[in-house]
Amino acid sequence: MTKNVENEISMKMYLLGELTESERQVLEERLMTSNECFGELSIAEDRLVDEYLMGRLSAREKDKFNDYFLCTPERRQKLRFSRSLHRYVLANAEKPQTLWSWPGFLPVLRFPQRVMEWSLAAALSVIVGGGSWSIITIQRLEHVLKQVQNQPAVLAKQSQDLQQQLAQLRARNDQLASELRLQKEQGEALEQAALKASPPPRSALSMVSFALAPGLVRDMEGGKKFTIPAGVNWVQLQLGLVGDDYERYQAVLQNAAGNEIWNQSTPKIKTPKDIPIVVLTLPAKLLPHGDYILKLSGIAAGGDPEDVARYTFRVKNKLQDALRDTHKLKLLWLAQR
Amino acid sequence: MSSVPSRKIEWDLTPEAFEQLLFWLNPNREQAGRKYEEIRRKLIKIFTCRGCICPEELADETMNRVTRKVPEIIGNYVGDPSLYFCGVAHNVHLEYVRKKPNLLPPPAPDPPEETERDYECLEQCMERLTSKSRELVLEYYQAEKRAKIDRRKELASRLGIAVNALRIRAHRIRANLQECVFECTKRKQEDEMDGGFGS
Repeated sequence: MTKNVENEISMKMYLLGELTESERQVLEERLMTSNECFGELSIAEDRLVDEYLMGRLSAREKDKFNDYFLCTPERRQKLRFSRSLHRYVLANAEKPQTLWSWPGFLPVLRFPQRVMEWSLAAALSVIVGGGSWSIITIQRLEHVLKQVQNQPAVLAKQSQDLQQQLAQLRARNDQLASELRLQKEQGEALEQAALKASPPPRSALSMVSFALAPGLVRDMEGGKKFTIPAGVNWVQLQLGLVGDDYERYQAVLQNAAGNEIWNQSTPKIKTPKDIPIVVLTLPAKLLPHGDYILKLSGIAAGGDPEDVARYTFRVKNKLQDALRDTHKLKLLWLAQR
Repeated sequence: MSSVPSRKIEWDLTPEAFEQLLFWLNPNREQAGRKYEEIRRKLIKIFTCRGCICPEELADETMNRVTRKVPEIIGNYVGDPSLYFCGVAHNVHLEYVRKKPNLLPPPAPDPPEETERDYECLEQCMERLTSKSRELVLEYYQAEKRAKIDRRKELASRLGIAVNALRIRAHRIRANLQECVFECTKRKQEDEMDGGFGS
């Protein structure tokens, strides 16, 4: 995440009274000594008011906005002014121009532009993905064919190599197991220390982003896999949408056992290429190694949520995955024997 | 004002103490005056952001306390004086919170006539802008459902400035507009009151 985005989040939290005392003091010292930072805060105030007027704040942020941000008459004046400005811009803005549209005599073929874009993107992905897979498969089969042709001589050597490989893997397995044990112990110690310590300074506000596409398969193997680096406090999930039918969405995150661990209501936003996505930001500590299902519902005009997509993903732990790979290799070797 | 923390020993701001404060801020009197205003403006914003209902009074209380302390610290203090103000403001805020000040009631919906008055004033203020500034405001703030970021990039490149510079320019015009609308609505309110008394 860029420094600018971190600053934006930090200032938004400051304006909504959500920073800790120490975080607030650090920011206020920057405000006092840097005119640039002070200017950014004024811009952040305008942005927050705009987000409120556009209905882009979550329910919690909206409450904070009403109860905390609007504490002074000046801020209420700002809100009134911004409301007028939005109305003026809406009334005087030029009409959107489309570069291309379906010919008028083909009304049946008119699809929503977003559906067309997604369909084309999906088709292109299938073509590129399928082509790459075919090339890889052909190369692999050619390799296997050559091996079969030289089988008698190769088999003996292969068996010897595998035995050697297994010995190395056993040694590595032991090493990794001890590393994992050590890491666990250190993790527990750090967790204990963190619980005792005061809240972390704001400078520790680091974030990683992952893009998720709606899952066509239900099993975890088909879902996205990613690793959250150590020291990261926030995870941003950017969810691709199939349609563009709702302004707000409700996301519910479940673990592999189906237990709900987090939920958030959020508005849809557009990427620079005008593609609608939903962006969720959640604490990284909610996502330890494991499988997750994220259920997304669109909030209809009547307020009832309607299921629109589900996203499966796996958060990986480097050491545990390495151990699992070792185990797979071992099973493969035993099967060949 | 009951919400502002009061000192046990009353102390009046003397011209000599104020001169000393200015000198501490900057030996050049003109620059010192600007620095003083800048610090006060920032303190008001900080107290506002801390949810205080009387930020200006708390900022003035902070300025007074620092002015009083200047003779003691002027010889030894090292660093940006703004940070000293920040520390004193923190204490002033703690005292303010301890007093459990009354909060403003939640905002009531704006009466339609006031909303219309605001809008009329905004239209007048927009007319006073140069055509370039007016177009900039319209282009910058529109496109709620369109590619806002692309549009802003395009606008910045058309103006030959960076996106960040465009953001700052749009913000300045917006701030001036808000000031203009505020003055206009105040004037209209006064005119209405005068008309009411006259009839």
